[in-house]
Amino acid sequence: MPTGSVVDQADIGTSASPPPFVRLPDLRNRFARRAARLGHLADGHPLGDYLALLARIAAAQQDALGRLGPGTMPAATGRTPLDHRAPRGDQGWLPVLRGMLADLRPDLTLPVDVEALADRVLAHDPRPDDLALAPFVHAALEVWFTRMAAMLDPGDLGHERSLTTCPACGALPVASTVEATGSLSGSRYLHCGLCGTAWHFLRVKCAVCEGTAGIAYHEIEGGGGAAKAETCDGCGAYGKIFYLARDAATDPVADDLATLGLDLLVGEAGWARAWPNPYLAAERPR
Amino acid sequence: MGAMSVSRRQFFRYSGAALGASSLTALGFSPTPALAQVRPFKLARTTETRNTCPYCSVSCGVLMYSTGDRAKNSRSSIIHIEGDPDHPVNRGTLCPKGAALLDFVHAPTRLTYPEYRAPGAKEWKRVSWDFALDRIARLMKDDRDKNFIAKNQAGQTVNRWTSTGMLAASASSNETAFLTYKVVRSMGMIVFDNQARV
Repeated sequence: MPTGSVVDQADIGTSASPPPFVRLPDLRNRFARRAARLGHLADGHPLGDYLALLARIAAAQQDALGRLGPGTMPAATGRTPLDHRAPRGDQGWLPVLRGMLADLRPDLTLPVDVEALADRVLAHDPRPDDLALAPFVHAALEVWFTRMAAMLDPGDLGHERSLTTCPACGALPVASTVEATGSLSGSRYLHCGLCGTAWHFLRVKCAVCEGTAGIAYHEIEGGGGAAKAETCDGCGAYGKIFYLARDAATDPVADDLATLGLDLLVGEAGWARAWPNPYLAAERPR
Repeated sequence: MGAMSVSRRQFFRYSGAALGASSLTALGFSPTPALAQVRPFKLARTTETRNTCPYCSVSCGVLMYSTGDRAKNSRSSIIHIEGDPDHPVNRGTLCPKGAALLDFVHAPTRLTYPEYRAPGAKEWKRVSWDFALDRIARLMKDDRDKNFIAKNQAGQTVNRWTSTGMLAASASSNETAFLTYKVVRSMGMIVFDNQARV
């Protein structure tokens, strides 16, 4: 909630056009920014040690991103250009995974069928044995998908105004943000948990069932308004929404994990979480 | 529920039990401090509600933030108002008057009930809606009976009532505007602005 934001002179008139439907990931600082955020959030946090490990993963991702080739597009499916469920065109992500494991957790060993493990991680349906490896597998795939998503043409991703999955790769979002800069101010974007593409989605509308009645915003009492759970009485689900006017350094993946306490309270109050955080794999409720 | 069908099996859960078998614990970390930290806290609920700025006929969209859980014993209060970024008319922007709407909502001088100042009296006094509506109807009827113009000088039927006018609200919906038009025009009223420009 900006309290009286002032429009820059350069932005006067630009707000007459709708905000861009998609914003592709910026390869220059995509993961470096997250690493810095995780490092900041880890300080004094009850999950600080875990966030610090994830900060090292994010730093390794930025490093790997700079060395990764352009990649081979997955087989065309007619769904999205980079369908995350389609057979992968190459194994460019695998050296990234091996490198991260060697540097950060050499005690973990990969199963023989790594591609099947990758499929389970991408489907958010891990086996008990997958839980420790899942964040690393996701991190490597995330680098690979992000590299390819950055090369897409936003014009090819359509202008559909209501998409609950990523227009680039079809994966679930991890959280949404309410922007706070320039002509984007106040607009809400969903952030893909896999390829980092952000896409516009209306405010005060359930990003799960697309209903508009019975939407409310819950935060931990005295929380300052930066992180809320957008709950829907229609479908019983919630997703997190971060108000960048309250904290401009927010990273959807990092801040989602750092606000786990909000999940605990909102879950106890009866809402179910719509989107998984890929860095906190858990067995799905059966 | 919206167009897309949603099954609860598609959902995820980060409860204390779920975290016990998660990446966090599998990698050797403990969820216990996080579970303990949040225990004393409660949730605070707000809503964001779309509305239309009442000031002028541009009809900018606004988002009104309110606290309160709509329970019987709690009172909702509007805490913030901003331009609706999704509204095609103003795309999140507001003029200085619209940007000050919160003060308008909470103004101690805001009129929330009918008041009457009798001819020659100095003081306004609170009156019932029945009194106010009866009084308005009486005065309108008297004025219309006195000043109604059924025919013009050429003898053509015109059915005009030009001595009383009406301003409607800029935040009216199409349906409200339709009904207002029917009521007002059917009495022959000419001076009428359905989307008041103030």
